[in-house]
Parts: sequence; C-alpha cells; structure tokens
Amino acid sequence: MMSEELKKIAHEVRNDVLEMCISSGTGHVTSSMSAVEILVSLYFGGLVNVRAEDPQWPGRDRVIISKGQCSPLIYTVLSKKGFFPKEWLNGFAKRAGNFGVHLQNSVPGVELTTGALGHGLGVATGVALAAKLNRELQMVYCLLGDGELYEGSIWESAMFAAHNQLNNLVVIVDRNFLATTDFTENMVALEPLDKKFESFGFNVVKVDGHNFDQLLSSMEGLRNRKVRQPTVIIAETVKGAGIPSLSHNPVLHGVPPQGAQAIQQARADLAKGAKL
Amino acid sequence: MMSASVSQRDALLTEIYNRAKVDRDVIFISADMGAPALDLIRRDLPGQFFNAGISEQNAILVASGLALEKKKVFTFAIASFITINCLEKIRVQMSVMKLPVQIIGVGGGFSYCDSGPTHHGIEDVAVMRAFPGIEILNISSAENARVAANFCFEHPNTPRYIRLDRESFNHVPGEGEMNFYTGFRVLHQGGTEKLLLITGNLVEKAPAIAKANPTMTIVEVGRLDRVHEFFRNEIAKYSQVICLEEHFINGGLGTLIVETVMDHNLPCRVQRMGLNPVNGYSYKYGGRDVLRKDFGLNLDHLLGEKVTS
Repeated sequence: MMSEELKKIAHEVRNDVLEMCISSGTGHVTSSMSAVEILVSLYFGGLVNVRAEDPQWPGRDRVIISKGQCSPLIYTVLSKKGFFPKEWLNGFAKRAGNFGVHLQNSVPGVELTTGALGHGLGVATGVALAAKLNRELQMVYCLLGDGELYEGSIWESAMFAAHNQLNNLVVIVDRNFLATTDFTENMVALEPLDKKFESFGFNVVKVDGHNFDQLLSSMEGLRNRKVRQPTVIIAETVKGAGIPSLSHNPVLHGVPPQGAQAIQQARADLAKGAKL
Repeated sequence: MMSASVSQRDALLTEIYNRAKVDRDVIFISADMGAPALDLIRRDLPGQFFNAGISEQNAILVASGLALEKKKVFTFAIASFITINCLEKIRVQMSVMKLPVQIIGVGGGFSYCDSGPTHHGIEDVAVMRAFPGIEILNISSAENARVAANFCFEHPNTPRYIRLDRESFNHVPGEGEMNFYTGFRVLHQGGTEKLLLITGNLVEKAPAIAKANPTMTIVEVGRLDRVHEFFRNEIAKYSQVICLEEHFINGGLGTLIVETVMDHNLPCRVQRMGLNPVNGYSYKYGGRDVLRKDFGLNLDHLLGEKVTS
C-alpha cells in the first residue's frame, strides 16, 4: 500500500522537476530523476525525522546531499514536504528566484551548500561524529553521486567514518553508472563498488534504487544501531529514470530537454509512466 | 609572558588544552601531526581528540561537519598542506558556508628550511587571503600564540587560519600585547617618515633593525586578511612604508598594504620586501638566511650590515 502511495508521489515529483527545469531552461534533470525514489523514500517513507515548520529543530535527522546538482529534485521534495511554498519552484535559477542549479543551505531544509563534489561525505561524517559525542539520537543520511566517487576525499572520509564506528551515518550512493561525459565503467571502472566499501569497513547493502520496498527495507533497523559500522546503500538507478528519451545518454548530463520536440517527448515519456 | 624556549605550537595548544578541559565542545583534529602539548589533549581528553591521519582534506571536511553542529574545532597540520591541499574544501565550507573552523598550520615561510620546497609555506597567505571572511593570524612568538588562542575563544564564530612558525623565537616587547582585532602592535616608535611593517618569523629581527635605524618606526602586523581602519589611519601618517615578510611578495603582507594604500589613496610610497617569485622554487639548504638570499630577500642593509650578495 505504502509503496503505491510513494509511487504516486514519485510521479508527481518527476513532473515537477521536469517542468521547473523546462521553465528555466537549465538544471540537472537526469541526475535528479535517478534519485527520485531515494529521496521520496527518505522524506515520505517514514525514514527521515524532520519538521518542516521548524527546519532547524535540533533533534532532526540530518540529510546531507553531496550531489548538489540534483537540486531540482531536493527543492521539489522539500516544497512538497512543506518547507517552503511550491511557487518557489517557479523561480528556479531565475533572477527573482530563491535558488539556482546547485544546492544552497540558505533554503529551508537544506543543511549544506553543495555542488563542488567530494565534500558531502566528510561533512556528514563530522555531523555524525558530533551527534555521537553529544549522545544525540538523530541519524545522518548522505546522498552521494557515483560520479563523485572518483574524488579522493570521499575515501579519506569513508576510512574515518568506519574507523570511528559512526553507525548513525547512512550513505546512499545514487549508482546510475553515468558521470558527466561517459559511463563510469568505460571511464575508470568503479566496480566492484560493494567490495570497495566493504574493505573500507562499511556495512554494504545493494538495492534497486527505483524499488521502494528494497530501499525501505535496506534502511530498516539502522536507527536501532543494528550494526556497529556506518552503512552504505548502493542504490542502482538509471540516470534520467522515468524519461527514456533522456536516459542512458552521457551528453544529456546537466541539461533539460532542448527544443519543442524533445520537450514534448520527455513529457510524453513521463505521462506514460514508463516502467522503472 | 611565555618563555622563548616554548614553541609557538605548544603555547597555542596548551591554551586550547586548558579550554578543552572545561568545555567539551572543543574538538581537536590532527592530520597526523604531533606535539608535546597535543599529547596532553590526546591523553586527558580522548573524546575530544581525533587523528585523521595524513588526510588534510578530510580533516577540514570533518571539522566543518563538527562546526556545523556548533563544536569549536581546531585542525592541525603542516601549514602548506592544511591550506593548499584543501583549498576547495576551505573555500566552500569556511568561506561560502562560513563554518568557523580554526586551521592551525605549522611552518610559515622557511620553517622547514631543511625539507625543500614541498614544505615551504611561502604562498599560503596569498591563497588564504583570496577567500572572504577567513581571518589570518600570523604568529611571531609563543607569547603571541597564547594571545591568539585567547582571541580565537573570544571570537569563536569566525573561520580562521593561524599560521605558526616551527622555530621558537624570543618575544619582541612592544606597546602592549598583539591586538588581533586591529591587527598590529608598535615595536619601536621612531619618526613619522619611515614605517617598517614586519610579520611572522621576521619580527625577531626588529630589535636589531631598530638599533640600526632608530628613526624608523617598526610595527608588527598580526592580521594578514585585512587592514583595520585604525591601523590604516596609522599607516597614513608615514611617507614611506616598507613591508617585510618571509613569503612571496605576491599576495602577502606587501600586497595587502599596497592594496590598502591604493584603495584609500594614502599619501605614502610602499616598498615590498619578501621572496621574489621570478625564479620559482628553491632546493637550497643551509638555513633560512640561505633561502632568503636565494629568493632575493637580503636584510643586510636593514640590519646596518655590509650588503652581501
């Protein structure tokens, strides 16, 4: 039942993301689409404990979005969650708007300004460490893109987080197999990614990143600290998921559909409710 | 006053240790850099000390996460590594996000004169000055390090780079202790024609320079991120200003003063004395003086000595 409700929310989110990016003529549509189910699971699947009416509530779970290029998705989800009016989405990357193409912490509900890659995991590690030192119970979720796993700082931070047994830290990798110009396995292979994280001391779970049941069950029990080490969820996804005409194509990184025909096709793809 | 035998590093760390003992929010992250005073923190306050290993970028990021949660965080490593290796992390977290991480860098100038150019801290001020909102405290003595530590705790919400020398120098007495807010301290009051501005490890030369040039006013500059209005008004009283630093002349103290004089149309001529970057880096060894001269920084005439090449 819950899964059906989440699918409905995910579809609405995809539509809003696409329309805001078409309207502004910019934005990372495909990077956003791959992470829709991940973000909807976190915010609408009962995982993240936040208060939209009090974004700085000290007891909130922290959500650090390291792949700041998926800001259209985050802003859409946060507005849907009630952090700010939906009308703000109309100002995306526009002169009178409140935010641009990469994530900024001045927006209610956003913890960290990101866009420069390789930062989020280290900061999330510090946030998780602070919670442990303070004996506070909140969880820290960190969304990484797989393209930023090439940054050395990610692995410096992974080592530190595992060594310090930060089991209040849940890292989710949006594993869409595409970076900016090429497929990761063509460029510099990331696989076997699960083994890499395992060897760094993480509890590793691999899921279909578009499957709500798998996503939700992968994070079940983590709040109970059922493992001693930090957890990484490797969520295998499709860059541009839900819009086949934008998927599996490296050159479509960072842009909305261009031209009337491509826009029409993207809208038609979404309307069909393409199987994920 | 701190003894000359105490290193700047240990003077600073002892103050941090004393604060950390009574404030659990004080956290120390070392990028695998040690010190006797740091051993006290490690031994007595294990929950407030973390060795990140030789991973300066991660040290800055973790410190930023801790600062985001209101911890008072100090990071500690060799100056050129904790700054230049981490520039984007510093830029986004400390300048864009304004997270008040305190960076302690040991090794300003030719502190590691026996280690070659990888360890020379001679452009760190220039690059750190590029980021708005980050204070740069340049330390000349253990006493100044102690004062700087207190300044950090009195103004905890500011991102900061505290630049230490590896060597221990005598504290040069002057008019009061260093004021890191106005950023300067008069060491020798001469006339109103020539003003020598001096910073960091070269401050130890001030007494000898004053002896050779009694009419020259000598001022130590402790802040290198900006010139306070009060200090600017003092500079404006002089017709000739000489800036002396063990740093490339590009982007350091001299550049800061030239910018100030130009931007405020001050009626003085500025001469920059520092390391000339024209020949790049140096593999010379044999002490600081050898390296200074290799970079064209010759203090002989300021010291009243026969000028050698």
